[in-house]
Order: sequence, then structure tokens, then C-alpha cells
Amino acid sequence: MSIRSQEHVALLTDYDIGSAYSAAYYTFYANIRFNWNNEQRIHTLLLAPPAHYMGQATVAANTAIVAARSGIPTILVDADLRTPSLEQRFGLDKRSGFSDLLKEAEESITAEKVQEHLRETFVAGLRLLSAGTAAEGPTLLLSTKLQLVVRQISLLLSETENATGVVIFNSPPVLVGPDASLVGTLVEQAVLTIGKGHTTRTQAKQAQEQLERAHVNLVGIVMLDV
Amino acid sequence: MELRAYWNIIWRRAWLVILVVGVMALYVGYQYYHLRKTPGALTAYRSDVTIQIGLAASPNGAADSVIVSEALADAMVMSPILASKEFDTEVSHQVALDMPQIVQRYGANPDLGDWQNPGAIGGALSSVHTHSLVTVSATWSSQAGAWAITNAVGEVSAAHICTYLNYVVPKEASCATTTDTTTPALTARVISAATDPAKVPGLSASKQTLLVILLLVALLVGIALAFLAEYLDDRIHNKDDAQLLLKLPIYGEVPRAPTVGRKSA
Repeated sequence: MSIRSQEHVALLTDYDIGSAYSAAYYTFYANIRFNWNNEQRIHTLLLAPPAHYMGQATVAANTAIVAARSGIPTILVDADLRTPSLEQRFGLDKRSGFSDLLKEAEESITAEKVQEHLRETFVAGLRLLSAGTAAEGPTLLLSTKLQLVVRQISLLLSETENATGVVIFNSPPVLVGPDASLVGTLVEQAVLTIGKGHTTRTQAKQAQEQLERAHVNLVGIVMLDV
Repeated sequence: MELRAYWNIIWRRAWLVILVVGVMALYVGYQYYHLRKTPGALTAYRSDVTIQIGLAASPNGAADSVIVSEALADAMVMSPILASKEFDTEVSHQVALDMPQIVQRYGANPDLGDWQNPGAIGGALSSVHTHSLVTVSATWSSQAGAWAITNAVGEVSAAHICTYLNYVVPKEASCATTTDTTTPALTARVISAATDPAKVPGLSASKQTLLVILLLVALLVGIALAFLAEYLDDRIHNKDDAQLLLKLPIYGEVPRAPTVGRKSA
């Protein structure tokens, strides 16, 4: 993996597993797991910042790395179609992905189709569904076949050996449009990412109200840069 | 709000407190330096001379003489004689005449300060009186200067007091000490010569306290500004802020990513 900036090296794979940075992500993931419904085998999680935050994609990527290292098949979905960056973080080229799936005809959105767009990463058990190449407006794309795509992603995980898995969505900022709310309504849990000394009280409160209006199951907060 | 929370606010805005206190410290430092450089501003020396003023007793009665003498002493203290240009110029001239005596007492090239300036001499003199005894004090930046001026004041008063006080009893008194016993002479004599100068606080000594108070006020203003900035700052600075605002549990606290080369951070 090429290391071109601090953002790249912020991935957990670049740090000792015993470091404070890694430990913080393992604790965060453990707290999410405590909240899981044990009867459910496939879990979905949305990580959403109230407003634009530079480290947001890193949080999603690191949480996915922890999940995969815990032995659970993990799919990381870059649902931030406005400023996609996860491919770059994993050192992958720009290719078709989530937005292209959303553009497909309903009947052709299947688990196999999802499998075609998934890309293996350098972390065992972690696959990436990148933002893709479709040029249409993100809100328009997410408003139509999102539910079907999410269902097929879960279906794909349920077809694995243990029929367990976790899907983590990297969300665009809640306050820039309805994108985060649209994805949030389809996930099991949503967590608000708050940047210390960056996110304002007004932004946080408005984001919470926005997600609650959309009946998103907002379960907690993750504080960044503490 | 807990005491710890107040402290966190001050700690977070410490730069603001340091800035305000720092700017004030520069000003206070400059003022203190200026005071230190000004002779007599922080430390001065005071010497006293006691003079008896009055009419020489006339054959007409001593009682009148006592009453008039007290009036003359009162006039010496209350009127602006000591601050007058004529009197102070004469004192300055007298200091010049006394130079051999001063050199003998304080050595060659004694530090006399601005003794040739009548205005400075006038500003350095103060007086009190008890009955006909007038005590004149000179507060000066140097020991030699304080003594020289006080000594000169005694000499000038003894020699020429009549010139300055004859307006009180112009008709009855005479400036000349003649044998004419019908006209009492207005005289002054030194009862206690100029004392050895004692160290006293300078005219601006109280400014030191003022400067310390200014620093304390700057500290308070800095702290007040820190709280104002915190009040106006809408950003979330800790998990308690976020929890209190959103009523949601904290699932994780992720530190800032260690810099490149610090993998084990």
C-alpha cells in the first residue's frame, strides 16, 4: 500500500495492535457488538458525521478492519457518493461500485451482481464496495433502489459459510442532504461521529434531529481526536 | 458546573489568558523600568530642619510677641513661600555657596541631583509648625542633596525670612535687627540643624502596588475573556458536552492518529 499522507497511515493496519489508537477502535467495535440482537446473523451499521469531517472515511475503514480481524466477514460500503475516498485509502483503483449497482435495473440487482462489484482488500475477510463511477446525483441514486441493494448485500453475506457478517456504511455528512438518512433507515444501528473541537453543538443537534425524523436507530456517539 | 470543568475551560483558553497577562506584563515592566531609572521615584531621602520664627520680644509685652510669632509660623507653613521661585532660587544659590561644606561631608563630587532647578527644590519641600517652631523637610533623590537643601533652607530662612513674611506685620515689624527697641525685629533662627537624611519611600513608590494590581486585573480580564470565548464557541470539546447535548451514550473515544514513524503510539 502506498503511503501518501497522514490520512493513509491512519488505517489500523499501520499501527501496533496494542497501541492506544488500535485499542480505541476495538473498544468502539465491542460497544457496538454489545448492542447487537443475537438472533440476527447479519448486522448493518452506519457511521455518519453531522458535517464534513476529514477523518470520517478513516473511521469507517478502521471499524471495518476491526470487524474483519474479529473473524466476521465484513463488507465496507462507501455510501459517500459526494466525496468517495475509501478506494484510495485501501490503495485500490477507481472502479464501478455502489452507485453503479444503484443504477442497475431492479431485476438485475442480485447477490451475484453485488459480488461482481465487491473488491478484496489487503485485510483478510474485508471486502470493499466502493462508491463507483455513476455520475448521477447521489440523492437521486439513493432514493430509488437502495433498499434492494442493501438487501442483496446482506443476502450475499448470509450465503457465506457461517451465514454471519457485518455491513458498514461510510456515510456522507447528515446535514448536506438526505443521503445519510436514506441509508440510515435501512441499517440496524447508526452512530454519529463527532470531531472534538470541530463539530459544533448546532450541527450535532440538527443531525440528530434529522436522523430521528427519518426514524433512524441512532444508538450512540463516537468521539474523534480526543 | 464542576470546578474541574471551569479549570478545563481556562486550560483550553490558556493562550488567551497568557496573551492578556503578557501584554500587561510588558506594559508593567516598562513602567517599572522607568520608575527604577527615575531618581527618587522609588526610594528617596528626607532631611529636616527646625526653625523658630517670630518677633523679638518688645518692651510692650511678651504676650503679643508670642501670638504674632505663631501667626508668622502659620504663615510660613500655609503660604506658598517655600514653593515660591524667589525662595527656591535663593536656596539653590545657598547650596552653591555651601559646596565646600557639602564636599567635606559627602566627599568630592557629591550626588546632589537637580539642585540647580528651583522648581524641583520647591516640589521637594514640605513643612509643619508647632507654635512658633517650623519644621521644613526636603525629600530628595540623594542623601547629599536632601541634606544640602535642608541646610540651605535653614540658612536662607535665618538670614532673609523677614523678606518673605513682612506682609504679615508690615508696620510693626522691622527687618533690621537694630537697637531700636520700639520696633520689634522679625527673625528666624535654626533650632535644630539639618538632620542626617533618612531613607523614605519615593514619590512614586505607591505605583509599584498599582502595577501589581494591574497584573492581577489583567489575569482576571484574561480569565473572563476565556469564559466569554468558551460561551461564544459552539464547538464540542469533550464527551460530556456531546452526551449532555444529544442524550446518547459514548460508544468510543478515538485519539488522534499518531504521526508517521510512531507506530507504537
